[in-house]
This record gives sequence, structure tokens and C-alpha cells, in this order.
Amino acid sequence: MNILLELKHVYYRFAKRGEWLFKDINLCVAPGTRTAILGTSGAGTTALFELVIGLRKASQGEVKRHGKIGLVTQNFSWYQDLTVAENIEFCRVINDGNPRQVEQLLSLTTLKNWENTRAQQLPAGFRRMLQVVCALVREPDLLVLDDPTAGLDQVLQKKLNILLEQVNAAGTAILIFTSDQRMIADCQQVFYLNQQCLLNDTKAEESEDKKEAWL
Amino acid sequence: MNYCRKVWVIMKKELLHIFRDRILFSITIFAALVMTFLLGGIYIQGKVTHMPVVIFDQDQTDLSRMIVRGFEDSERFTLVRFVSTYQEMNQVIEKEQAYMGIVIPPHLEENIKNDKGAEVACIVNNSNLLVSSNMANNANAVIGTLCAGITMKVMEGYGINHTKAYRAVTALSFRSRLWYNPTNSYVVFMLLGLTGTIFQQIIMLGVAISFVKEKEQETWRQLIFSDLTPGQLIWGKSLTYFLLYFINALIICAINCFYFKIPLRGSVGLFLLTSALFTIVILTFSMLMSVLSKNTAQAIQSMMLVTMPSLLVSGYTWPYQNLPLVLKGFSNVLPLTYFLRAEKAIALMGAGFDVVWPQLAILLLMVIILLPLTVFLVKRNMMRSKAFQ
Repeated sequence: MNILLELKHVYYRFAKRGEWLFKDINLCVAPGTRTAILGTSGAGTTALFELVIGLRKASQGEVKRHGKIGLVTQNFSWYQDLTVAENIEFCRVINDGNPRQVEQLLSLTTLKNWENTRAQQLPAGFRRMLQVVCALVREPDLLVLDDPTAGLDQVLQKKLNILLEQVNAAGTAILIFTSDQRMIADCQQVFYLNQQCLLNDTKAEESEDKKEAWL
Repeated sequence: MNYCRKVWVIMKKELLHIFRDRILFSITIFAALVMTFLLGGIYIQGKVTHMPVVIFDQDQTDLSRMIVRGFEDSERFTLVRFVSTYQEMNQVIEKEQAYMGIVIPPHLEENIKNDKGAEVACIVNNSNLLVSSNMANNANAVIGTLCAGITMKVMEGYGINHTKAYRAVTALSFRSRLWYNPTNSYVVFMLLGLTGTIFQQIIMLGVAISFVKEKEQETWRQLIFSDLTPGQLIWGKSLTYFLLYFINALIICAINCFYFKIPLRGSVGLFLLTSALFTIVILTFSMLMSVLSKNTAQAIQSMMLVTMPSLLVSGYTWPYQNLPLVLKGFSNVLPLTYFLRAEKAIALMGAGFDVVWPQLAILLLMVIILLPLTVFLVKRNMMRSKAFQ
């Protein structure tokens, strides 16, 4: 398996005759890599995230996905009225996950002592960690995260980064959609979503004006 | 085993949602029971009795007082007032202090003694058809009985002996035999239809939000990307709701039979089969609406469009034969129509499979059409975004 995710000359707009939200987006995510897509608020990072995972269909161009995808969405997308343990167990069973891995993941995150707490009663940062655990329980080939550090304090952000490093080291590719510059530190590829286009590091440097406008 | 394990985990999740959501729990577990007791309580007397009546006696003779006593002695009527003018009677009826006025004409006794005949009138407030038809029928019965007695007396006055007079009066008699509900009990008639309707409403309310809530809470995204198949998801949800609502149905049947004494003359097994089939149809239909709806409000609105007219067009109260063609068409596509027909036939008439099989066949056909459609739509929603190898 060579490429986990490939976007080729992708264009997208909300309505048939509306303005283009994205133009000529090209993106490749290889196994085991760590990629970040940086965008300011309103740039369309969430829409691009949904396009990448298939919740939106590209108006033009091609989107190819291979392997298992694990999702960590911006909003909590598991069950508020189930406990941490119940959410993880549910996720594990429906994804044929490994029970031993659950213990390992719980100890790596801060959720070990919160197993019997309902998700709606968790602090916001812990809910995000729960989402990450649930995504990892299915042992994905590619983990896609939308603004994962939003709502996390520095301690949790650090823990998340460590977790992602370990997961990446174990072979899972990571694709992060974020507005947080601190998330790009260990990424092999960094893209900037700017004025409907996706600029990689090199192109971003060439168009300094655009990058400054973004910053 | 893996398939069953996934179906079981979906069932467990659904049960946890139901038991942890107070409103959903109340709707699923208690609403049908509470409504059954409430509606049964309304009709528990079985028949309309002690309806207030006003008397306008313009004769004031022994005969007129005998007529008044006839109404006094009947449990169906309660004499509330004696009036002395038509206006007074009108006012009493308008204010609903009485539902019926008995008008005894002047010179009643004299006219009867002189072979001139006389007519007692009943003025009935017909704004409530249920009450008025009851009262008019019972008033007829009271007057009819008195009339026979008076006629016999008149004939005896002509020199005809008592026995011959009796035979003459009863030469041609009319007797109606009320099959299936001989006591004319409203609780027997209405409660079956109403509990069926409520049951439908409650299933729809509970199940309608089952899929749409996943979309609203965005858990749908996670289900799409999981290794769950559409079949496992539907089985898991369907089995949960079927078990809960079928147990509900059994409890309601038990309450109807043992507390409200509604007869179950036919086969219990056939009755349960009909109830199970109806539950599956409504469950499947509700799931379909839930998959098609964008949010909870839309799901509930579409349910209401179906459930609100269901009982009225089912032919249970107003006869099916008297419905306009368009409404007959609408009635023909509603599951409640066939369920109530079969339920009434089995419970009240003691009908067997040979009588109700057409209704069961149509309910089964509805399942055969709706279930694959629901699976197809769920599959389409899930496969649209699924990652592929």
C-alpha cells in the first residue's frame, strides 16, 4: 500500500454556481507520515477535512482513500450519555479493536481514572482525548484530526502530542487540520490553506505576501 | 459470533440511551400504560348513564306523572328540573344543564281516553352525537314500554280481555341482538381502537429519533467509518425497540383484558402475531422516516402527519364504506387500518386466521416493502463516505 490519501486537482464549492471554496487542491499522504494543514478561522479547514474524509463530494477532481481511517472531529462525536468505558468498548467492538490496546491507550491519556464518568460530565479537554482514544481503538492506517488542540490546556496539548508521536512511530499516518502553529513541529509535510489554495512549505515561502496575510 | 456481538453492542447502547434519557424512558416505558389507564378510565363506565333531563309537563295528570316516573326510574336519566315554558326549557338545554327535554302535551290523558291519540316529544341537544343518540334511543325505549302498557289499557277499555290485548300489542315485535358487544359498552368499543393508535404513536416517537439523533450528535460520522454493516446497525436498533415495544404491547393487552374486561374471544396466539406484525411495520416505517429526516423536529413532524388522521380514516369509528374515494386510498396505505380490523375481529368477534389473513398479508407486504427500502437508504448513507481498500 503506497498512498493512503490522494487529492488530485480537487475543486469544491457549496452550490453549483457559487464561488469556489477550494481550487486545484493537490495532496498526498503516505503511510507513516505526519502532515499538517494550517488554516485560519474561516479559511475552510473543516470543510476540507470533511472533503478529505468523504462527507463532502468534490465538485471536480479526484479523492482516493485507502486503508482504515480514524476520525477526530472538532465537535464531540461520540455518545454524551455513555461513560468513557462504555464509549470505548462500543467503539472497540464495532471496529473489531484489540481489547489489550484499550488499556494501553487509557494509561497514555488522562482517562484512566475517568472510566465511569459520562462523556457529558468530562472536561472539554478530556472529551477530546476520549475522541482520540476511540479513533485509535480501531487501529487506523490514517488518523485524521480536525483542530485537535482546541479547548486543551498546555498539559493536555503536550500529552496529545506525545500520544500522536507514539502512534506515528508505530506506523499510523497522521493528518492534522489546525490553526495552531505548535502542531506542525514534527510534521514531514505542512500545507497552508490560503485563499482557496493549498500551499506547501516551499510555495508558502515563495508567496510571502500571502503567508503574511495568513499570519 | 462477531456479527451477533456487534448487534448486541448496538442493542446495549440503545438501551442505555433509553434508560438514561428521562423523556425517552417515559415515552418508551410509561406513556402507553398511562394513556391506556387514562382512556380506559374515561370509558370505564361502559355506557352513558344519569344524563340530565328537564321535564315540561303540560298535562299534570296521573298518566303524565307515570311517564315522568318512567324516566326517573331509568338509570340512563337524571331529572334535573321541571319547567313551565318552552323558553325555560330552551335556556336549560342551551346552558347544558340538561341534554334532553321531555315535552308532555296538554290534555294527554284526556286525548288518550277519548281515542284522540297523543304525542310525547323529546327535544335532544344533538351537538354531541354520542350522547344524543344514546339518550334518544333510551328515551324511545322508555316511551315504548309505557306505550305498550297504555295501548293494552285502551284495548281493555274496549272490552278486549287482558290476554288478547297483550297478544295484539306484541303481535309483531322487534328485537335487536347485539353481537360481539352485547352491553353496548364504550370501553369495549373505543379502548381497542385508541390503545392501538397510541401504541403506534409511541413507537413512532421513540424510533423516529433513533437514527436522526445520530446525525444531530454527529455520531453518524463515526458509525459510517466503523466496521459496522448497515444490517448490523438496523438489526441492533430494530431488535431493541421491537423487544421493548412488544413487551409494552403485552402489558397493555393484559390491562385491557383483566382490568377493563375487554374480551379476547379469538386465539391469543393469533392476536399476539397480529400485534407483533404491526409493531414491526410501524418500527420499520419509523426507521425509514428517521433515516430520511434531517433533524428530530422534521422526523416528529412527518410522524404527526401520519398518526394524527390514522384512527379517523382507519374505518374504526366512521365506516370505511362511507369514506370518500381519496380518503379510502389514504386509509388503504396505513398499517393501523389493517391492524385495527384484525384486532377487532380477533378480540371481539373471535375470528380465526381464515378471516383475518388478508389483513395480516397486507401488513407482511408492508414489511417486505419498507424493510429493504430502509436497509438500502441506511446503506447508501453509510457507503457514500466509507473508506475503501
